[in-house]
Amino acid sequence: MARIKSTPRQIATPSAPTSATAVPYKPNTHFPENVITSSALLAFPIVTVILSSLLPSDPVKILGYSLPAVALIQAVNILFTNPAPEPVAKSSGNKKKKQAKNTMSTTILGLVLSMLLTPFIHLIYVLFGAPVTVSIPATFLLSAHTALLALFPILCTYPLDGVTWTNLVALKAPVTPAYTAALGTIAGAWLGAVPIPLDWDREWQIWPVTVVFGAYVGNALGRLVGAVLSGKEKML
Amino acid sequence: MPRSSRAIPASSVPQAHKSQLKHATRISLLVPVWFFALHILALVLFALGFLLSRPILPDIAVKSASYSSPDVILPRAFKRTVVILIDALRHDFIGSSGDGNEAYYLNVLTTPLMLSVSQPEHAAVFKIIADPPTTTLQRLKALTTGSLPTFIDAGSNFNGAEVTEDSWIGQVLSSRGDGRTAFAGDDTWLSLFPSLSHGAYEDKNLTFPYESFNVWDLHTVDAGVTSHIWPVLERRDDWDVLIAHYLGVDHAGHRFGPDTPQMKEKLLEMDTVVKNVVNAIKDDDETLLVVLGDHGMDDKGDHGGDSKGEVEAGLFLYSSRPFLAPVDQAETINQIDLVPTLSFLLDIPVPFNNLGSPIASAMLGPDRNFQQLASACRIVAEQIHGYRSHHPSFEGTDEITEIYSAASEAWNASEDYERISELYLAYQKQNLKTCRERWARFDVPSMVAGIVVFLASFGALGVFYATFDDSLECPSNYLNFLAPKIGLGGLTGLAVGAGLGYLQSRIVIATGFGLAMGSILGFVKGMHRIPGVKSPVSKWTVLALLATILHGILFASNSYVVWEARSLSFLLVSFGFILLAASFRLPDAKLRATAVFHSLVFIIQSRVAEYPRICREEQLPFCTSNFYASTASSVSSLTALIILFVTAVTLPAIIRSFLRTSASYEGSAPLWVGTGLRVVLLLIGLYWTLDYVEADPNSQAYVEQLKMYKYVVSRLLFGVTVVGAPLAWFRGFPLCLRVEMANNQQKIKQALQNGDMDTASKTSPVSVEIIGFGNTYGSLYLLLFVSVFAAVSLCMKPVGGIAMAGMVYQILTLLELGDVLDLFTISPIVTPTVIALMSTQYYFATGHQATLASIQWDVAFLFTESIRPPLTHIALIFNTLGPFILAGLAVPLTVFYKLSPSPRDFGASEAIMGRVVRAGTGAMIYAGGLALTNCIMTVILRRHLMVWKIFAPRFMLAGATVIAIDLAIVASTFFAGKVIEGVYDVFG
Repeated sequence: MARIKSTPRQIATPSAPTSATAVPYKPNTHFPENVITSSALLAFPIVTVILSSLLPSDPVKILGYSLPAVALIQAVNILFTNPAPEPVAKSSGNKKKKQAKNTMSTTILGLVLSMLLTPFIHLIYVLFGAPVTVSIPATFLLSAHTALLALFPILCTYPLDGVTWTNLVALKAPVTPAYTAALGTIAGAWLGAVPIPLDWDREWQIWPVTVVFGAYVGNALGRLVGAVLSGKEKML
Repeated sequence: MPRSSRAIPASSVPQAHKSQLKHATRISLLVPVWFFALHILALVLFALGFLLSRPILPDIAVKSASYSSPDVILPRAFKRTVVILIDALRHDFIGSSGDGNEAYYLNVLTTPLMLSVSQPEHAAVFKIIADPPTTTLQRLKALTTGSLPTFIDAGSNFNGAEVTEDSWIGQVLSSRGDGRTAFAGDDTWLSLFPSLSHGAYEDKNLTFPYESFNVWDLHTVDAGVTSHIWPVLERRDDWDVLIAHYLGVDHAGHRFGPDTPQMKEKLLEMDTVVKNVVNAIKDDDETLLVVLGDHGMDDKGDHGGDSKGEVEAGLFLYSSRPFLAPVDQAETINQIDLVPTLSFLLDIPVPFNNLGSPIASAMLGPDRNFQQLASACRIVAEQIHGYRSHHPSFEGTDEITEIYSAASEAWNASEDYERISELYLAYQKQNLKTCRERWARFDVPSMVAGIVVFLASFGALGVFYATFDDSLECPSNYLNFLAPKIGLGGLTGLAVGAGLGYLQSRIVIATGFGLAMGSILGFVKGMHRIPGVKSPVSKWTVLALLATILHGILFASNSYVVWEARSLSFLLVSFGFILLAASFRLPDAKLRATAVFHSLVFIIQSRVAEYPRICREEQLPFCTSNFYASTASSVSSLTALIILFVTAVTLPAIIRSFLRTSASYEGSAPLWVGTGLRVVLLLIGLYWTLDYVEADPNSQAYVEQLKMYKYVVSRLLFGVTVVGAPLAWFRGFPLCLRVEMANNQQKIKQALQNGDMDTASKTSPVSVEIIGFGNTYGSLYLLLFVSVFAAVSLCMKPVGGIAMAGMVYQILTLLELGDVLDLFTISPIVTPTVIALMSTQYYFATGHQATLASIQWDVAFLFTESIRPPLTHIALIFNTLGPFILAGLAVPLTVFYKLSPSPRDFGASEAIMGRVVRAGTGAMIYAGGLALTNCIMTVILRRHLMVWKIFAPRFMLAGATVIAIDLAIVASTFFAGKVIEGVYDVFG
């Protein structure tokens, strides 16, 4: 944790809650970034469609196999869309390399941390009513996907300090796509639980298909909203 | 705040202010009482239109003198009857030839129609009209008793569905002997007629019941029935009535719909069955075959309502003996007409409650003998006349009785039997029409009137709540002004309603509606004069309304009603996370930590509260009951007992920890909570331990002693919690305060040394400190709350008692959060709403469901061996509605919690009363809003398949909820008034 904290401020700028002008994310004109952003915006709807059509047959298997792919997409996405280093005019090539390296290590650490936090998310799902003694692999994989969707980008975007995370939980942090995507994931997963009790006897009603679907759709929408709204100081 | 204290000098209370305050607290009661009355009126109006009820007469018919009269000739009876009931056999499945192959269900089950055309004296097809509700249970009752069953048959017991009325089954069993029946199929029959299962041949059983639950299974029941009826049919001397109930057609309808290949396949199978049965009785002219549907189905294959497809069922009669006068192909009769017809054809008396008429063609016989028809009609008319003169609901129907007299005169005077039959049939039809009007229709105007009153009172509650702005918190002035307006409006409405209702002969509904709406209009008129202050609506208020709406939306689907407990847990956990997010916004680190801790506890409590349960039928197999030791017993498990004892020890400690946050565990608190409550809870544990030991087979020898000890304990506890503690609270007024004398000499000296003359001169040498001052109101009221909790707990099963303790803990958690997050002042409605929401959650946690069957009748015998009016009723009410009562009583705590008195401030005391009333209206907005949405959904879904199984019981629960919460709010407002008066007496 300490190591993450010590990552350069440039990478973690968006969280600085005091600076109203610090635009944490701005779709800029950098060519590769734009492509990656739009492809990331596209990637998740596609993943959603694929996942949701495959899931009902064997949720545990599909969620398990797709996990590394989702992690990869998210990592690539974060690597390329995380705020570009502040345009330091006189930055030498060497420095740029160093920053790229730092971005890489942040991403890896974020991935590891979000995976470590999966049991915690599992607990939250259980608190919301997920089965305690049965379907544990399904719930755990759902939690892992949720961690990748919601926590991973945030861990790479915001510094790990008390004030920032207090603000994040208090819904007071400044808007970034990572943050809105996380909130969208939560809202989507929440809404995803709604159709489960209905007696329609559809195969997609089995746990946790609707929640996965909701989380992915919510994530995509949240990202979109974040891209539009980013720069605003407060969410709620 | 480890210790909240304040120094005040003593003073005397001016008498004028005292009586003025008393008046304010009294008149404040008007608000909840008025809204309670409005809710009751709305509920009654709605229920009058929705819950059709019909008193049942237990009389059993015997053959009257007319049977042996020389003029009476009855058709020849059969020895045996085979009844093949094909569930949901719609009329067009057998009765319509259709002109092409346009639908899968046409021209498939053709045997009946072919036979009726080729042998019209042996076979006939009828269209029978079933009365709604078109659900199997109600239809079976109608088909056997000849009456119009409604959802609630007053007089029947709620525990069993057993038919206690006279029926042709009962008549066959009593005249031919018990056991002369054979049965295969839907086990609903056996719950209606348990004696059907006595059918046996030598030592071989002739009863083959099958569960009707699994609608997705099309074949198990049918294959079983078919395999069992052939051997039985061959052994025709061993039974007089064979009933075979097929379910496949109904299930195919529910699962796939009528116009599907699956239905065609099912109907083909049924055609083979009918064909084979006809062949099997071809050589036997003493057997009558009846094939019929209990109801039809709509285009989707569902039923329950009153659409054309649902009420039109098919009937086919066949015998190898000619017994019918040839009829028109599609003759339409009432389904219950089968009952008198079968009675004559089986030579038994017509059941006492029958309302049907004999089927003409079967009475006329192949030689069209009108004397036979007239005789049958006369006997049925006589029976109906006897029923009418016994039945209370036929007052004012003399014109129908006149038809009967005219017909009887014609019988005595002439031999024109065709005309006599017509007269008697006219009488029967007219009577049936009246009965239908009185019992078997939803009265939509009445239901709408109920909804309108709910809606209007919801609006009035909202206005009332919103008007209690800070500037208007002193309630007595404007209640003095409003009360006469409301009363006058109510009286005017009453008069107008009664007048208009008299003209339209809807006097009850119009009067009630007029009274309610008149008083609301009077209120609206009065409110115009009161200056409105617009205050911004807090996000928490929006959240409270959203919670009410979300809970209300659950009533839109049977699935959510079935899974309501889990849905509520989901909502409460979500609210807990919102509290958590809000906690993180607190700037003060220490307060933030407290709030975060309590939010997390609240979340866990909301989740755990979902755990104790008794599953309802519809939840199976996705639900396991854990309320009792096993699903087959109603004895609690040892684990539950142990947890109950642990709760008895820990709950007082938990309450203490909350009181200590305001240094209020002083004065009476240690005795009341630490000792009193703990002892009571331990004794409740002792009671259930005795109960547990009593249920053990090894202790049979001591059962009598154990019973006695149990009653000693339970009655002692009843005396202490229901009578003693409230009385002690009223008399003793147990303030949780401690007075401490402090010597300030040292302080003054120090100040003087420091040269601080100001402090030195202001500090008196001796001061009185009151420990617990900061929660004077809250701690005092909490003691009363705790004693009611103990009384409710006493009437709960062990797991229910644990759940109630959990509810108290969760309420305290929420109160602490409300205090830390300042919710009580930001949005006075949000905490009462969440407390009320929790009450429904805990209703489920105490082993209840939204079904009549889940009422724990056995607690009626908690205090006495036989039913004794006050004790039995208190036990049942506390057991069933305990969570709602506690929630209503907890509402003033949202004002009192950590509230300190303002000495010598009369206005402040009155303002506190205003805030209590406002919090009460907050809870009533939730309860009324829930009942309102429930009524709306019930009206919309009144034709839903599950209306009687799911929505009607849920409506009854919503009604009970609103009554219980409202009454508890009235009571709590009264108690809160006492607290405010008492505290003013001490500190005023």
